[in-house]
Amino acid sequence: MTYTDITKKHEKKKRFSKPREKVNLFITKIRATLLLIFWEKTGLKKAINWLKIWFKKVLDKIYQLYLYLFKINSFVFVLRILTVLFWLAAVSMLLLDTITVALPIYTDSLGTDEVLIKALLWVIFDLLAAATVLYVIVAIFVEEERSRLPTIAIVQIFLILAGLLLGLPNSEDSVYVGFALLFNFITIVFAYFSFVALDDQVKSLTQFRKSSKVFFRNRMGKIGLVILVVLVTLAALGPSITRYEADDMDLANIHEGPSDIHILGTDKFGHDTWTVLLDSLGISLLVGVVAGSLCVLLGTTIGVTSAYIGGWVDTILMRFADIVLVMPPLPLMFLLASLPFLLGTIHWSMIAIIYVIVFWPVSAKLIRGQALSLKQRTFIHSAKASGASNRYVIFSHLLPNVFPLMLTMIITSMRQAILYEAFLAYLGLGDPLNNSLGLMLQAAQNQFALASGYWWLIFPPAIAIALTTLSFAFIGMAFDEIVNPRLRKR
Amino acid sequence: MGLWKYILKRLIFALVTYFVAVTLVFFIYHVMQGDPTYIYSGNVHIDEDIPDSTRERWGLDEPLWKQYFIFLRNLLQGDLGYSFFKGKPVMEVIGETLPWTLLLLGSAFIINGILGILLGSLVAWRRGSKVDATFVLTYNVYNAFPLFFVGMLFIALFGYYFYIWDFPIYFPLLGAQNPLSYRFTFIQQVGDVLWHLAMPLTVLVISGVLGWSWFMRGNLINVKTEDYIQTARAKGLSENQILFKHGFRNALLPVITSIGMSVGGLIGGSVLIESVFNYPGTGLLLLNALLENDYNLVQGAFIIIAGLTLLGLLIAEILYGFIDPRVRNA
Repeated sequence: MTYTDITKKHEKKKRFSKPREKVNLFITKIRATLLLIFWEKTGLKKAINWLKIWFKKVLDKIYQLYLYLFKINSFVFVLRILTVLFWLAAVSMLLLDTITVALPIYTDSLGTDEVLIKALLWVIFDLLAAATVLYVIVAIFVEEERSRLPTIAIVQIFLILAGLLLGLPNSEDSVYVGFALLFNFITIVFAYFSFVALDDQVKSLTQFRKSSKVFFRNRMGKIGLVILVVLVTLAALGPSITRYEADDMDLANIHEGPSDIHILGTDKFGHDTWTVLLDSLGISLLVGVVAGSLCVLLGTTIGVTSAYIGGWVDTILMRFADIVLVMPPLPLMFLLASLPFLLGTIHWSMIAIIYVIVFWPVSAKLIRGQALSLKQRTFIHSAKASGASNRYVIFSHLLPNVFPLMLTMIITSMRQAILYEAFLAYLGLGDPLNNSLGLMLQAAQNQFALASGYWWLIFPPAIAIALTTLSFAFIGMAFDEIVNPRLRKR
Repeated sequence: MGLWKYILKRLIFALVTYFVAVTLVFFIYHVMQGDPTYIYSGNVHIDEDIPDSTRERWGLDEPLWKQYFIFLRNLLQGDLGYSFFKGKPVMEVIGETLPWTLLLLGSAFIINGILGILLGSLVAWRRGSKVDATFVLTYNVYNAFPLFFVGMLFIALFGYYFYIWDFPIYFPLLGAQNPLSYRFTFIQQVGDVLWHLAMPLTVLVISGVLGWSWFMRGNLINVKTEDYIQTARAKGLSENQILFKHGFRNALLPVITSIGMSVGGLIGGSVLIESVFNYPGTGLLLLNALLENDYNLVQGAFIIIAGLTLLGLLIAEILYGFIDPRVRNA
């Protein structure tokens, strides 16, 4: 084919697309006039531009203030003392929780038929979380360890969450755990700003800015984020924006369609669908977030360990992962969920744990691959050659580079966890005591909702699941672009 | 020979994995307290010594390790035990359901593979066009809904409302065969089976095709940015030649590895679909056995399902060994 042939082809294509161009021109004209009327004439454009500029100015000022303040040594010193105080507060809350709530439950159960191993695990994890305070004492004397304090605080929050999960449903009553979580969260923020060197802070801030720019350039990411924020606020506000409780029964209005008394109608027992929907949305999101993040965290730990140590540890871990990986996931989940000692009291936290057991190999394998390829890079070799310890290489070079991939996987994993929870609940293997979206669908199916025309029982939960998973998928795709620059549109 | 060594290695790994799975499912159900012969309790028509004799007959009074070896020996002879609920050997119960699962899975697998790869390469090659945008949106929206919900919609619309509205064609609500199908001629029977298969297969195939083509699309997009595609274009090859000779072949390799992995997901999907459409396959059997605490049957069904998955994986890996010589030497 010669050059002229190719140009002729192009011309043909152009001629074909001419009428479409006319339509496009027409559409752009209409859009421009509409924009002129509603966007510029109303002054909306000016206002939003002004807001944007103002926001940027304020951000800039905050940034300047931040740079100024954090160069003063006494300010940082006060912050550090506050951090330690908050840490101590969290630890004391955990100890209180252990002594007044968790231990009595365990010791009371000792003589009886069912020894509550869950309560013992709860105690152990609480104590482990409290023990992280020992690291603070180390950090007071050893200066190099101080920059690692935020990480330790994050470890602590996960230990608390693990204790909470294992202690459920008993630990839901304990107020102390909530306070401990709150204090711990404050500790993380304070520890980051007071113990990490200012240069590193600025570096990670600019990195964050760059990534968020890529994220917000993606339209799907933006849409996903908005949907997710709306859903989370709805679920969090849940009881306060509905007129009923989730287990209220309005027996006068059974199988009523949407009306001004019940926004989304009622079911066979007179439950208000809107209330139940918000309640179950919260549980489903909780299962998704907990299961998804725990799964990837476990996978990352195992993947990085096996890639970094190598040798027979690597072989054993990966063979084990292979074995779990090739088993069919849903039947395996059935098997675990139906174990008799679980079936009586299966709680949503158990479903999260089952999800973690079944799906950790997926993330472990991917993270291991990434970590292996990182291990061969020159910067790791040179760090090792200049005498860096293994811990330093893992925490300062390996983990930060694996982190973006981890984030993407957490998002996809959350989406999958929500779907699998719905599957299990639909098939009758879920948590029967708490509402969840899958359970709502199962109940609707049992009431022959589609055949009888009760659309308000079946579409709201389905659409809620779809919106949740869709938002996670969109956010995941936007994250993918941050991780993999090849996907970005140039 | 690298190839034979590779195949042998894969075979041994598959056998070890299968052994672990079998051991796992055995111990999960035997460490638990409980006794299958409790099913006879409260039944006044049964002699008092029947539970004891049953226990003796099936070796339930032996220590655990002995039971395990008896179980292994029986498994090697193709005997999966006895379902106390159905009153039949497990093998017989599974034998009735397995053909339906194989029919559903096999046809879904073949259609998924062919259509998925074709659609994926089409969409990836037209990346950024309207076809691609529609595909991305369809994939995300369809996968956002749980599979069983789509199944429910299908049943309600094509099974129930089409019948109510007197449409010329409507599909059955449940089952894999007409209960009176033994009276039909052979061709009528085949038609009946296909008619019952249509809806579950469609639901399974739509999600499968979308998933496969999503994967293929990702691969082909990655391949498209490689340097050798640029070189091929610079040589003056036509777009079709580049697509089929350079892009398609290289993008296909990871897809073939993922065939094996997809079998597990497909089986999970088929379990859901079977339970929604009441299709009498092994997945539905497993689920019902779980809900009835019929442990021997659960064991048997899980062993068969895990075996199917492993078999699919093994075939895919051997296929990959034939196609890509690099794997053999690794």
